[in-house]
Amino acid sequence: MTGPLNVNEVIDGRYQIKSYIDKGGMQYVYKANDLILKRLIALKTPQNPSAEKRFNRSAIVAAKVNHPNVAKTLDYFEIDNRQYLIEELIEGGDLEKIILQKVKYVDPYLVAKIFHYLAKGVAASHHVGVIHRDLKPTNVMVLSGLHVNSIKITDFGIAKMAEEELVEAIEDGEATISKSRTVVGALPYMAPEVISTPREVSFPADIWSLGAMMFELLTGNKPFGTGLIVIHKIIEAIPPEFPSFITNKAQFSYLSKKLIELILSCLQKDAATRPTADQLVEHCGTLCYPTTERYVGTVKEIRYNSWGFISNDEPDVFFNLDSVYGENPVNGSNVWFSKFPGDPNWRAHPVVCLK
Amino acid sequence: MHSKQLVFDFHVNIMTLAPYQQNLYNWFMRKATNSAVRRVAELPIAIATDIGLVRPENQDRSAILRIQLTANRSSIVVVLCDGMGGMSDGAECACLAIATFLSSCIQNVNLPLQKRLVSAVTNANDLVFAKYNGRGGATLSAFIADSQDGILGINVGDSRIYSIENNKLSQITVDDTILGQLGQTNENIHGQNELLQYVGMGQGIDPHVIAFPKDSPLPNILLTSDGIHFLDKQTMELVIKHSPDTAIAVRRLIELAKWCGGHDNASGIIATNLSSLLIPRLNANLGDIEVWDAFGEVQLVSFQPPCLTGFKNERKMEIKAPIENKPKPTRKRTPPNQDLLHKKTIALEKKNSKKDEKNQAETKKSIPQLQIDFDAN
Ligand SMILES: Nc1ncnc2c1ncn2[C@@H]1O[C@H](COP(=O)(O)OP(=O)(O)OP(=O)(O)O)[C@@H](O)[C@H]1O
Ligand SMILES: [Mg+2]
Repeated sequence: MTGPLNVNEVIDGRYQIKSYIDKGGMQYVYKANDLILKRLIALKTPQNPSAEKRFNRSAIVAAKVNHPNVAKTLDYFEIDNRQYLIEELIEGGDLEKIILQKVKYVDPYLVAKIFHYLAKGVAASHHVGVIHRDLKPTNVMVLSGLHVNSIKITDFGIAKMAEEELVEAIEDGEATISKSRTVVGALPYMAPEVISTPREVSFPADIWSLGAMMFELLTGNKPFGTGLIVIHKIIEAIPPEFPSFITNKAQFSYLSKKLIELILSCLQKDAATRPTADQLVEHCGTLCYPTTERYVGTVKEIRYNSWGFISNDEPDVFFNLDSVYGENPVNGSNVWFSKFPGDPNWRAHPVVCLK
Repeated sequence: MHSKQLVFDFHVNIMTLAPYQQNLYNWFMRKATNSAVRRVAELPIAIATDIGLVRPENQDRSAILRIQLTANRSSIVVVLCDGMGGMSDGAECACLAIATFLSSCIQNVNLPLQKRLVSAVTNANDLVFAKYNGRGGATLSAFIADSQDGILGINVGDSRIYSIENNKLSQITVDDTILGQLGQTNENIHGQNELLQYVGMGQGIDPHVIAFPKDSPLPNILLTSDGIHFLDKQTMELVIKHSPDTAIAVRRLIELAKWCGGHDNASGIIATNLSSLLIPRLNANLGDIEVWDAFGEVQLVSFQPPCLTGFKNERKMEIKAPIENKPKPTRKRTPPNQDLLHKKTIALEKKNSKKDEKNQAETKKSIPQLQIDFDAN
């Protein structure tokens, strides 16, 4: 186990720790059993004084948001000088762990679905005046792993209310506390105004982050790259280029083009010209995407460089190379796919190579 | 076979660094007092560190390394690392970063300065990342004064290097924070002061090579962790101006930081008379490798000066027990067989080149009778 808590420890006479899940820069996350309501929950507790400072506030802000695409805040309390946040448990993992580390890029069908869900979650948050300010892949939870049954936004650690003044006043030497946290992970998704005029940050900053994340899912690249130079590239906000594989297959090109349009609208330098979360939800609603389950299998054979079979638990699934998004698989490649009834074999579409 | 003990439990090829790196790591990890300041032997350098008033442990590590390569060539490395508090194991990360950085500077002493510094940071970054996967790290500010190659610095993160001229401080590093990169001043809004890069982040690290002012005389140099430099710059200048010597100046800076809240670990190094660092010493033992931190010193004796043996070749080395808090240590070699508890002599097996064999033959003459031989591969 990692962090301050041990397996089987009971917190507040109610939450029994079952296992350690993970930690980010700010908090430890555990899986625990709610002994009263008899269900599993996620228990979060801060890692350090700088996290403690915001913990209570972030719980209050997060609790305002009530939506299936936002991890629900269930409880908050302090015992013996330690703060605890109880949150809906999401079994699966975050977008980084579950998707970005497993595939190079995601086909437009699933990107559209994730985009739609995320936009809904962000819209719900914006409706109650909450700006998340830290949307990035590790703060987006994915239900049931590669099946991606749903998406939930979490970690309102630095969220703020729109009307609230940004007063994070410098106390003596306190700036130094911030070193407990880095922005290495958040920088690629930061809106230009977050970098250059942080006091003016409002709802559109979340929209930018959404666009940046969707760019990465669709292309496998961060829209403005990585490293220090990113700061300047984001401030300039020259629209990023989309690699050609995204649109060069008939099966994907229509949806891809729609997504590119939406993504670019989110990545406008001028915050006022970005769509609102509600508009995004509406746009995403007009995109047609299948919500079929995803499977993982291995390519068994490819014939005439045009079609082949994927084996997984069930009978082999037929696929055509036209259904492959991005790089083509070879014999033995592990792939991620959806499948549709067919005779004699089911047909896979789309197919994406696993890393 | 003994080499097994020196290998870390992660899969990076650190064998070439292992002999110094592991020993230095252990040394930096030793238990220390909450506060220390010292002058460094006969060098015009003062080094100090303090846990502060709030933190449970000191995650800063700083040190001075001197390698005497030949009668007229020495290389001095001054380095400060600030472990990232709150991230995993800040102190361990700082120790791993500084130990790897220094051992790499020893191993690569023959590379041109810029390459030497960049590869030392790269090695440190790789190792910390291999162990902590980006979840822990350290800042690093350092410079090398090499009697043959001159002076050059390097920086990652928000620890700083200042030049001191006429009691005026000029920061010659740029903080790796959004504020630093945009050249703005203090604004404590989330995101603005957080690190954009650190040793241990893995991919994407882009260390800044720092050219030093070439004025003559060379300026004095101050290295600080943010536990000191959150102080107002003018105040720091006044403290330095009114201190009778450098050791008192760093100690006062630290005391002042504590009077102002002591929120963080604070460390500082002041080096004066840089030109003297570039002059070879006459009374030096060839192959001496000495390391000082605020608490004490350690001596690694390389029987073959690194410049002769190169990167992976035969080397004998001896680790002396740290001589705690002695301002002027005697650098006398302990004869073999004495003080065995405190001393390990390690020899790396040769590679199969003729030159190596020759080196080994030469080395055999000078090594103590008692040694632990181990296979570097
Ligand atoms: N409700 C939850 N259910 C299950 N796992 C969760 C939940 N919330 C977070 N996690 C896991 O724990 C990790 C860290 O959580 P969280 O984002 O809350 O911490 P953090 O310290 O703010 O991280 P970061 O600084 O990277 O944003 C997440 O990446 C995720 O994998
Ligand atoms: Mg998080």
